[in-house]
Amino acid sequence: MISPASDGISELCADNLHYEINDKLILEGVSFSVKSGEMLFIEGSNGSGKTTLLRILSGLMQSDEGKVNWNGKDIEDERIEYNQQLTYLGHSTGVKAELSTLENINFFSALSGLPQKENAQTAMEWVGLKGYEDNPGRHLSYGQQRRIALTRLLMEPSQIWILDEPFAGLDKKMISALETRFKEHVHDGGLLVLTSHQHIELDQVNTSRLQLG
Amino acid sequence: MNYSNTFLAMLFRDLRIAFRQRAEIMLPVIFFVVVVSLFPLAISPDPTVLKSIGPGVIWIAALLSILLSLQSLFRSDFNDGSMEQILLSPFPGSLLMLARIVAQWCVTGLPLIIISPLLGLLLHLDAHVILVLFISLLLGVPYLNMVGAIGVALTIGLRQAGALLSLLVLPLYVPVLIFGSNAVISAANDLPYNGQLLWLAALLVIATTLSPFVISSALRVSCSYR
Repeated sequence: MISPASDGISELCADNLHYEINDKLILEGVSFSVKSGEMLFIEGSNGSGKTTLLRILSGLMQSDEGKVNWNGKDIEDERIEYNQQLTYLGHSTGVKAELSTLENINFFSALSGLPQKENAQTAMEWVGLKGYEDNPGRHLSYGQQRRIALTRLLMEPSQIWILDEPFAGLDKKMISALETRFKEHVHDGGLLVLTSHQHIELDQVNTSRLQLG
Repeated sequence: MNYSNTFLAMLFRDLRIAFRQRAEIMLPVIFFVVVVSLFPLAISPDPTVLKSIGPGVIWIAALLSILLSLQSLFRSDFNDGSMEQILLSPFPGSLLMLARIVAQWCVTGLPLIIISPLLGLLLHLDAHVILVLFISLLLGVPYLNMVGAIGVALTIGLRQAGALLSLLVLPLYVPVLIFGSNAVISAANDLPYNGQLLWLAALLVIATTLSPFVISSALRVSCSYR
């Protein structure tokens, strides 16, 4: 298994981020820093800007003011390297309704551009989708579609995980499997940023919290 | 990172998705055939009339059917979140977008080009005129696909983009329509048509080299204002 730690220490810094939608200030002077081996838990009510913040961190959106630095460099200038180290899971899963489970997983691997840590079979077993290899996405439930997207957390050798509501639509068993995976990732020197309405407490994990709104 | 593998993965993914929605991919080509075959019924079955309007009719129908096919381009990727994953991949967006356009051309442009000689026969065009028609479509239709994709990428974030898309894209389609149908008309009148075909080829080269970059930047902008 390639551990993220082999890629050295990473640090993700947000520096005074501002973001405005329709004259309403969503993010006002948000600053923080997370390092390898740390988890940042972003809390806030609906509409407090959690998703916006995560999209800015991933580079999908640009903030009106302030910037996001990765190891001291603006992520805009380090697109390719940053994207190689990044796994972003948003509200939408990115699972195609026309493609089977296996085809979806294989496409995610092709997009990530790096040798995968685990093969698709192991990943499907981990998310409990064994036996659903050939089922097209449209015949799967929302929870199962989310599970397809979650296979990336086992397969991609990335160091930075940015996860928007990773527990949405999942059952208890999968949630606890995910929590274990989060711990492994952070202990291996990974960096984790996530939002959740569910209270999670990972013991022995260096957690910082950010309250929005 | 292996660029060609990812290019092919993207291409085959899109082709696979397209062939699993057969009704949707057949629509542009059916539209093309229906529009062209209605002209002899509505105007006149007289071969001299059909010969003179034929090139224009086929070119207009081709243009409109490509415009029709644009409506679904990028839409599902945008809605189901795959576009975000594509934009966040370490591969150049232009490479992935080139794969997308090639796939789009294979399912919408190519069938239309292949069937065009048959429609030429229907409109009583001579054999050498049909050949020129075929070549002009072969050069012109990929341009329509690529420029159309730029329009889609710019407007995909808007709720009712249909009218705006046509307004944006049609002026850019006009040169190709003029050169394309003019080449065929010149061939029918035994005039030289190389110039028009070379213009089409030049436009195609420009579109192929520039559009993947423009499309990927436009999609990045569209995605950032969701």
